[in-house]
Amino acid sequence: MKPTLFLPGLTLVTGFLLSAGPAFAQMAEGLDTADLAPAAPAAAAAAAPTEKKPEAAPATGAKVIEASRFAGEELPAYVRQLTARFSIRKRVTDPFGRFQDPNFVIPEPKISPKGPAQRSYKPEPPMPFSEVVAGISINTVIPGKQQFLIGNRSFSTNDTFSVRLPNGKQLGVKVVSVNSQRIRFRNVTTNETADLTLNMLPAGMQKGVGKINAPGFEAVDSNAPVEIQPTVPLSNN
Amino acid sequence: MFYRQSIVLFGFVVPFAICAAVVGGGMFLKSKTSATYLEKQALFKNAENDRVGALGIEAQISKKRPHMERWIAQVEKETANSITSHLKQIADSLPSKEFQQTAVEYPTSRTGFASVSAQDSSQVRLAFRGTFRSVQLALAELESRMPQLQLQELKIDPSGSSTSSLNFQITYTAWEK
Repeated sequence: MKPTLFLPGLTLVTGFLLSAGPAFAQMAEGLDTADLAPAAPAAAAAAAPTEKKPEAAPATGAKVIEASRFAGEELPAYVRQLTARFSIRKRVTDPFGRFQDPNFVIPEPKISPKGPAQRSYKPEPPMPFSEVVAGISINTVIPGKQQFLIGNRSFSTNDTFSVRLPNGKQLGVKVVSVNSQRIRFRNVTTNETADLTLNMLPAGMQKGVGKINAPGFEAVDSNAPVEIQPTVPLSNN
Repeated sequence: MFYRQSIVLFGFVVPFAICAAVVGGGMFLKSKTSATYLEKQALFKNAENDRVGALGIEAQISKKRPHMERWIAQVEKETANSITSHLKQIADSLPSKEFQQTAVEYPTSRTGFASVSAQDSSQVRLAFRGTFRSVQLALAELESRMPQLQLQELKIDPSGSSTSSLNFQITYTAWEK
């Protein structure tokens, strides 16, 4: 009898547990209110800023003038508050340079008898003739023929030519004399003369003034001074 | 071999049938409860959204509600009469040397934004001669008194006869009901 009673009992218990499964599962799902629980705080959080906005507006809007349609009965005060911001109230002229005083009359300009331009004008000092002559660039001098070359033009004594200065003025110049050392010119207008000293040697070289002596030889003249060499040895380079 | 049929019937078939009935009933109850829960949850969410939306709309319109009657009265008034009376009051408060109304016109054609809007409107073209300061004050007050005015065009020319005055030509669109 025992096995016969045991089997239905086992079956009933198994059936009860199986049938109770959905109930437990339902209870487990019933605890899962994750979707619902945050929904209410989220909604409250979304509603909170909306409700706080009107309270925050006056604090930040102390200096912000709202639209005139909300002024209502306080329109004169609103207009005073609005127009107090206009910078034109403190300006003498408007953005177009017009004076805001309707009675303003422009003072007549005072014309001084002597203009500042006339007082400050100073005539340019004339270029000295010596500088004019120094500016002449000589290519070649032929002392035997009393000639010299400027560029490809040949001039000789008693020739007269004109020189154009940097300021545009022209000057008549006459060649007075030509030799190997200098050329003398004369200003035709003022009869002023100036010499152009010739130095045909390259820079750093100069003409020798003494005799040319070969090293190791002395002059035969017994009265001539003995030539000495510099004590500093010459460079081997 | 005895009681075989009874054992099969009462040991397996009947308990299985009972269990199946209980399981089926439980599943039916669960699905019904879940459906009801989801439906109520969706309704709750919709109601919350609607409530928040309503609060937002209320915050917007609560500021406008006290002004609605005045606004309606303003846009119901004839624009020409309103502008004339307001300009007269404004001109009385300003020095006549600094503010003079030289012309007023009411063009019948619609230009600008009014030409593409279904809202009723009218145009008004005003001309003034005066100093920049006085005309700016006058226009600020006029636009404050009549918020339904929308600036359409503004021309400023120097007046040749005076060192201080300018010629203003202004076109407004006045929204109407």
